[in-house]
Amino acid sequence: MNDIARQQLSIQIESMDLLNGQIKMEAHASAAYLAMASWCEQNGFFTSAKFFFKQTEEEREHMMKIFNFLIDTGGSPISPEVSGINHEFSSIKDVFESALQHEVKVSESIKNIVKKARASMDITTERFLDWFVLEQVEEENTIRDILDMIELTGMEGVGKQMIDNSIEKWIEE
Amino acid sequence: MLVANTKYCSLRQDASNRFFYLHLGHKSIPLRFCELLAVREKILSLEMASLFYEESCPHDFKILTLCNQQHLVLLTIEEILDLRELLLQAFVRMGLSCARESVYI
Repeated sequence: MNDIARQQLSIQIESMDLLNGQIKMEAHASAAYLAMASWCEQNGFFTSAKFFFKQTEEEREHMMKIFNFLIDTGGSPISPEVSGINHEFSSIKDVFESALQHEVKVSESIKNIVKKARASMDITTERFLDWFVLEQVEEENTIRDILDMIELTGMEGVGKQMIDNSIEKWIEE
Repeated sequence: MLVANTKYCSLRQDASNRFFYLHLGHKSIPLRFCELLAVREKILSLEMASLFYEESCPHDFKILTLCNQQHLVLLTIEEILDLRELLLQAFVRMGLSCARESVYI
């Protein structure tokens, strides 16, 4: 069969579907971090809010990276619908624990796409995702370090204020 | 050249003008590749279970617009399932899918 379709699309169609799912996930993460920034602002954690505003931008950049990859490979990127964003947290620790849960979910989803791309010999997609795999190691590590710092500092007395001040370190990194 | 066919529909490609032709029995729709991707997205993203609820599909058929609203098609649930099968088959035949089942999210 003449390869008109293959000439138009450089990746496997299942990879395109999974990457569209990932676009949605990154958009959801971006919106979730915006909700966390909002909570931090309202509860006096202004440095943490700054941290989450930066995370929001990063997640959107990830989303756009995938979006543009699909355009470059001849695919059909779908602008995602985002709903079900949680705005309620019991403490600053709860906020960062939720953030870690998000990052773990994103990491697992990326690994799943890598596995599927590998199984279908879609080397283009597999290689494209190399950057994301390493980026997720960094993202998870950042949040884990913050949670360790929260644990060490404690939430009593001036602990909360100290926690918020310490977040600055991870914004500059 | 025939790419794939099922009970109610078929997909052909014409290498001379690089168009695909989706035949839906009563209607033939010329498609560029990007439009074929859009049709695939529209059909596979239909929530199958909801087709069986009256609010979503009250008369056992669904009206869909295709190709930037250039085409209006009326399909029964059976025809939608058949078209879904055709699209899955077609991408396997074109070498762009090795999965029998869609991983569509």
